Amino acid sequence: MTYRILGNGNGFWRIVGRGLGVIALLASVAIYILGATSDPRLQSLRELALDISAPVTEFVGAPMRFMRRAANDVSEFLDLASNNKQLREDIVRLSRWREVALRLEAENAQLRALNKVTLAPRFDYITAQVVGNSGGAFTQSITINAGRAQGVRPGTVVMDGTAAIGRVVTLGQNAAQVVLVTDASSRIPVLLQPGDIRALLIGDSTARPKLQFLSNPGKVTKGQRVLTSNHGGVFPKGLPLGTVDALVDNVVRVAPSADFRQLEFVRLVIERVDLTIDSDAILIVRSDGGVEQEKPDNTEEDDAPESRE
Amino acid sequence: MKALWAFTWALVLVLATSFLAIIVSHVALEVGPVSTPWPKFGIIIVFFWMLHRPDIMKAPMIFLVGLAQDLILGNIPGAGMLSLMIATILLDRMLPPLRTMPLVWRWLGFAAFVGLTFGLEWVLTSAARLSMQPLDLVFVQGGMTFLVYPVISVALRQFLRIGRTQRRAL
Repeated sequence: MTYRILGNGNGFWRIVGRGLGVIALLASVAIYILGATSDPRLQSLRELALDISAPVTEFVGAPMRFMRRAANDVSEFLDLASNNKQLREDIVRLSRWREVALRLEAENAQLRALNKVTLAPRFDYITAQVVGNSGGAFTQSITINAGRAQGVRPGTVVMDGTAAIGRVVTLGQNAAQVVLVTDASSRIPVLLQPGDIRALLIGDSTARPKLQFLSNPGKVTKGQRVLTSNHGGVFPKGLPLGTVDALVDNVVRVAPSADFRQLEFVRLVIERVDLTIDSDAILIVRSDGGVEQEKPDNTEEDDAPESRE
Repeated sequence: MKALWAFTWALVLVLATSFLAIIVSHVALEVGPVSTPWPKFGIIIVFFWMLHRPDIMKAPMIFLVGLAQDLILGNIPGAGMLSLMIATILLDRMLPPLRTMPLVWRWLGFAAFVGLTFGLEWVLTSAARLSMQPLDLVFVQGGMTFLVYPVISVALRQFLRIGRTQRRAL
């Protein structure tokens, strides 16, 4: 019995069908090998698929998202009494924190004024809507409706309201794919505070990613804040990710701060490129400890005296 | 000429339904690790057309649908596509008798197809990432895909009037 899936029929068309089937199978194997080795040649194919599918997904998903919102509204209405009680408790708790924050803000402003420090904003933010979801079993990623045209760059960090949730891996013209911190391919250098413990946050497709390569495992305690550490240069330093949740079988698990289920809009953190030093000036440290800046030889100012001579 | 038009129309229909099924799998209703995985509608459509239009849903078409699914859903390119192709080749002999059988038997055939496809994709993804991927989400998504099949199959058969009247849509 022949394999019909690879082509059947009579004579010439049978050979053509078989040939196409075998070519398709070999091409599948080749693409899998390229995909498994993260070959950059597939990147343009991914970007093309993203640009075509994202607007269609946004359009097709609109009525489904509307129905989901309506269902959420009904559910929230039914939980009104308990939510009210919870909110009152939160207001009392947050009022105390507000006082602390105001005091620290005033103290910070005073110290900055004393030091005459003027900090330029390091980041710009873009808000985007989540239009697509990978589905869950093998990959945990989302598709957003902002891309190269909106200033997004590969590796851009994505946050929900408060915490980092992932980074851009594939970039189209008006859409981008974001791998979540819980994805099995996600590796983020982090810092645990208090304690300044360095570690690597590794996603494993579970709700609680794990911490590995801890610099000081003995000092890890439940409730420590997990922040990005900027090691490797992908994530800016100090973005919150979550808190240390539990230590099970010598594996430290982290509870992400982001509420993934309610993820509808996200914020992209764009590092401002105009703040980078682009001149070739050299800083010289003298033997007496003082410093001076030397201009490079190829500038016009340095060339001018020579030309006069 | 009429036969050529009919074939072209069927080809467009198969492509359009396959693309739409992948897009519906991609719609973000719940996101992240605690959300319930969506069914993979692309697999359902591939199996449906393998039964009803085996002359169109051949290896090149499965290649296209599988590649589109992998790229749109953000999986490892080739893992889903290759698992679909291997599963169809392995179950090729099972399909002809299923075409004339009642829905329950077709559903059982689909169980074998979905089990094989998800199993192979799990193996290929684990091999590509050099670590065993969690199986629980695979079972949940595979189970949901299996459960949704009769609804999609009956709806499509009704809509396209397959096996209902003499005057068939395809």
